[in-house]
Amino acid sequence: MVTLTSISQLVLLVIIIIIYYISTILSTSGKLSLKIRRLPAIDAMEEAVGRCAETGKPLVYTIGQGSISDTNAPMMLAGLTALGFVGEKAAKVGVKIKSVFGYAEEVLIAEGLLRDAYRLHGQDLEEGMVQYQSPQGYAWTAYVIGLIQREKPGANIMIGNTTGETMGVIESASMVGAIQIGGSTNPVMLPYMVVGCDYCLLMEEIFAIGAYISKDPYSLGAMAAQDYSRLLAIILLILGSVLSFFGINIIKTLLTIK
Amino acid sequence: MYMSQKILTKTVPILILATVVIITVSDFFITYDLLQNSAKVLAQWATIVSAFILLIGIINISHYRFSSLRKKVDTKEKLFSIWFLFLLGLTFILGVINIQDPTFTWLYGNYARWSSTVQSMLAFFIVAAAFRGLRARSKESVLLLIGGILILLSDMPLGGYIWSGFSDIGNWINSYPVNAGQTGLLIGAAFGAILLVLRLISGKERGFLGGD
Repeated sequence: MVTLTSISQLVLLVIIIIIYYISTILSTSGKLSLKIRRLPAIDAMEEAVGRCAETGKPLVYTIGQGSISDTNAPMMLAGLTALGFVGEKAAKVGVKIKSVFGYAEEVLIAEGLLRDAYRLHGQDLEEGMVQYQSPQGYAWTAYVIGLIQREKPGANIMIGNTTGETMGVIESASMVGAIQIGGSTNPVMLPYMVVGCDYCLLMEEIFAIGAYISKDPYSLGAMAAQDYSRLLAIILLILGSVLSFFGINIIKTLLTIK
Repeated sequence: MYMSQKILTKTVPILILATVVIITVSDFFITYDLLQNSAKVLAQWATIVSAFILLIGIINISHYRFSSLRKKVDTKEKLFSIWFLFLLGLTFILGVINIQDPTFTWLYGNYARWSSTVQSMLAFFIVAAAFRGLRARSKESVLLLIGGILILLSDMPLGGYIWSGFSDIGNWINSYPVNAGQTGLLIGAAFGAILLVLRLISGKERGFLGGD
């Protein structure tokens, strides 16, 4: 059923799409000069691979628990994009990646990504580099904890939809002295990640991985659109708060999901 | 990469993704029978494909475990592989024969106990992380430390014995600064996700499809 709320949400979505197209057009035509701020966590991925190469240890990579066929898809795809980047760096210096997934569809994508990366550097994807484990959270966690304790990796990277398993994996990797990079959009798990990891990608920063790596004008324009959209949200929040203070609840009514 | 291969591995997945996203999002906003039915069929397809892909996952892990039995790996790894393959086979056979079988339900019910065991270990991990993390090294970490202590005192029975006001302070921190901060973070992440999907359906974000 079409409601006032769904119309206002559609209008908001259309505004975001317009902002996106204007930003990308201006950025690609050179009318908008953009720079992306430094994200130490992405820069540190090369350092993590380097540490593994120096010590001869593997790198453990996980994207948390979630499927690419549900609402977790953007987080999982961001994690897989970062896996492709890390895979290329690792293949270049001959570091073995051990990645563990809870959903089989991600196994297929990860195998494709890592096979391409290792083939590019004249190597084959070895067995056990991409492993499927249970979609049941704690079964998966137990396996990853065991894997970290057995393999003693030089680095642990976990970017994606991290849930209850986060703390167990981070602390296990900490016990074996691995350099750790985390990234999550789960605000409940984020504090654990900030405390436990050496570098951390906070919330929407994980969606910027692709743009940060490529740095092409189109992607930078899309990143600017993200900032402009956030500005729009701040304006709506302030306006809504001020109007509510005077007893006018129009913005609150329009944006409340019933 | 050959042109035909590029079309198959890059263009076709992006086209499928764009079609699915447009139909599903349109169904959320527009009430139209054809859209509704299409979205429903797509959701059913996703369920069927996910169930089928599970088979690939089982093949992946079984193949890895079988090959580790042949390889020169340490005894612990071999024992783990034997144990895994035994349990996988047993659960599969019992489940296929009769899913209501008491042995099968006992076996599956055990997962809940093992799961709780792993979950309870998290308490120790959290304490270890808090010990390392809650140190006054910078202005920000001092704020984190103060917040942590206040929440601890608010939630612990000991806090209530010392001063009843700790509970109110804890409730206020959770209801206002924490709630506002989390909402702000979620709004930012939501915009990030929307714009990632726009980049995906326009074919500009292809990192997850591998190198060109």
